Amino acid sequence: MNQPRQCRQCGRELASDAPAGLCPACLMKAGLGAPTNAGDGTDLPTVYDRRAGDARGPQRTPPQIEGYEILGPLGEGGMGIVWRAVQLSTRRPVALKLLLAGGFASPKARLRFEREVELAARLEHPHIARVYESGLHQGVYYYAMELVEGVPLDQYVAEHGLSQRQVLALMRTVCEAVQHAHQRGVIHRDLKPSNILVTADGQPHVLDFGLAKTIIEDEAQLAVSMEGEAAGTPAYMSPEQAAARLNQIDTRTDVYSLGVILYRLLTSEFPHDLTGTRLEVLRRIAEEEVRRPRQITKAVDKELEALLLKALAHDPEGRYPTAHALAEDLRRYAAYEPIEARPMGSFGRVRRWCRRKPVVAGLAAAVVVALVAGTGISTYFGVVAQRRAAEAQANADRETVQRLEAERQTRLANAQRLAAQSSNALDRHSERSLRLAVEALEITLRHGEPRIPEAEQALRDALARVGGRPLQGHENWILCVAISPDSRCLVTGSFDSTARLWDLTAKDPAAAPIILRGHERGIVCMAISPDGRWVVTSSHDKTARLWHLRLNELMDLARRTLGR
Amino acid sequence: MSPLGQSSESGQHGQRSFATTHWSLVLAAAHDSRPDAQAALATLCETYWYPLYAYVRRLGYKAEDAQDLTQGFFAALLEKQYVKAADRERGRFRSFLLTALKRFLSKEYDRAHAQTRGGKRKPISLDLESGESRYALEPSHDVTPEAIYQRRWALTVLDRVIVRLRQAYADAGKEKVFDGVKAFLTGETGAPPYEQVARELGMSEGAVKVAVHRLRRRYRDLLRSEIAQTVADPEEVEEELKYLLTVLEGGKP
Repeated sequence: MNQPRQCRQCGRELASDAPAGLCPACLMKAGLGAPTNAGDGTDLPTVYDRRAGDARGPQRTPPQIEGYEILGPLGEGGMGIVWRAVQLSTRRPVALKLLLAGGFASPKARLRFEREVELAARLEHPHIARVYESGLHQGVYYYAMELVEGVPLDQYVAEHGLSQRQVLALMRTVCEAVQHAHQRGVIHRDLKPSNILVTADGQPHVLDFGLAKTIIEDEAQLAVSMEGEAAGTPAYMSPEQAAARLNQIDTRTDVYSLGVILYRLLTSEFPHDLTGTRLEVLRRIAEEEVRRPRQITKAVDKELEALLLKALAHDPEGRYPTAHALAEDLRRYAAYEPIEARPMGSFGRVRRWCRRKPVVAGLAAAVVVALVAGTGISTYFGVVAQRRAAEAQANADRETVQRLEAERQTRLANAQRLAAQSSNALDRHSERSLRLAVEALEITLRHGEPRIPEAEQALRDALARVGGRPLQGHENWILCVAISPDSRCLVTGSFDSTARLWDLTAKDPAAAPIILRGHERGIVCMAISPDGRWVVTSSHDKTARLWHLRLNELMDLARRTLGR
Repeated sequence: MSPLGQSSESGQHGQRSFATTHWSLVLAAAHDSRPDAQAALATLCETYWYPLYAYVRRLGYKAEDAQDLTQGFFAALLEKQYVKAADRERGRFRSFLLTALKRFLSKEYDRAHAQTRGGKRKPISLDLESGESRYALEPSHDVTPEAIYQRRWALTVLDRVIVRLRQAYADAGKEKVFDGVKAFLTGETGAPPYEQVARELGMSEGAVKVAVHRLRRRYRDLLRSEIAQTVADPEEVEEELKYLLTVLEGGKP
């Protein structure tokens, strides 16, 4: 069936891997023609000429983008060129960013980009640069964002000679901004000082959430050096990015980058050795541990070092789960409170306690001195001990409360993280995205806590992507969701007393869900058996029902009564 | 593979910026291990490893052994300053690489030794798995290892050029134009009629012809630029091009 093809020009056999499907011999021959004369250099009409960093420095002609008046260049990032412009409809100044990869290699990549822009455009935060709109012009993607007249973070810190405390305060604000984005399902993926501009009033603004990097990550393998090194420095990349473990990239990836920024600001160096080829650097980031900050400078004390190392933990599980957690530890450190990063040795704890409560510390010192001096200390000791005991009791209750609260926070954070992961996986692995979204929902639901809006949105998105349409039909709240182990079937249980079965393999899963009727009140909980054949639903009507999951027929087999 | 400095893409800056093409940079820095020369050598190896692999396989080594040897060779190459020997010949990277490999093989490094040497750090990433599947597609008729190496080299050059050419068009948002006229690169026989292409691209016939002309010009420049990466002197580019042509024409089905 597979006849070897022949070149129509020379008759030679045409192999299946021939470059561009053309005959290699003829191609090479065509190459032998006279080299071009130094005529017009503009072979192709271009919106703009070269990649960033070309030694020849050609003239850049500003592009024409409808709806905007371009005033001049602002600079060049790794992903594209930025222009200062005015949005004609609102007469407000904007930064117009054009992306280098003007044509996307696949419609999937373009969809993903558009989705990212959509998400980023919804971010409204005083420390995040707004994205106003995006569009396509002559095959080039652009987006218009808030024009931030500021200086990159590292430059600002150097120019203003900020103290360590001031640096930490600044980074706290940045972390909270990043947290805001995470809670709305947007991961930045490219946090670095040049993406954080500080305005004259000392306020930081984070730019370029999630954008541009999305394209690069999918198409190229990060390990191979790319044309023009357009990807920029890997210095701020997390291990999972450096190793291109794309499905592990989530909110904690950003935490790592924040850690690198902090590290650099506090020690003036990078956590990894950046010499050698790009490949060597990436390998180091992906495989090696970071250098301990105190080996570079003693200006970083042991607590701060622990904080940095936790942000830079190689395993995402070991890092701060959220940017907010990092911000909180920064706050605690500045307030001389114990930080989460490492259980402190007793000496450290006493030392910090002393700085926090100078009067009481004085008393403790007095006790110690008196003990050593050995003179009539029993009354002192008794009083202090009693007070300590009372404090310990109060602390214990507080500790339990705090522990429960911390657990709740962790669950919330995990749910948010899973929701962000789900969003992230949406385009590449829609089934996985769906499963992640369900997990995210279940985490809080299982503990009787309300489901988080990001997870709901992620589920809706995932369902829409998997089925091509949102699954509508229930007449009231959906209280529980379960997905069959082979991912072919989704079951939802609702307050409207029905459960619905959605066939995910169907062309249009939304069209004909099978409705499981029988319960008299809302369905609150359900489970699917590991072999995927049975569903159990339990309801406010005090019964549990067993359903057989064959899509063409269903049987209400058993009726069991709950709680006699 | 990006040239560290553009070399004669339009012939204007040829002489001055030639020194920064990969191979000439490697040769120039042969006696001190400058990081940019190291990087250039690594890039060259990453681009042209497959012809070597095919050679080793055609010698008769099994896939596993071939993979070990290839990896070990490149590790040794990058670590050991083999380039100092090349300095004397100032030849082309293509010949240098094959000669170096032959020496490596004949020195009877036992495989374990080559592994520990290269195993500590892998400075370049070779997708050896895919190398084996590509090798499986090589014509099975009797072609000597050396012939397979040269032929694969020529094809690698062409592949690279096409990729860069396509990317240049894509950067300007002109991918569709490229796809429409690329058949004309080798001449008009076998390409669809101009008028059909014009219709498909929504351009006039005249515009199509101009686009073809520009494409051919750009292709020729890129081809020379790509070859320049692997030779030491500008004069050698033509010679190398002609040699690669004979290699490709020599192969009969």
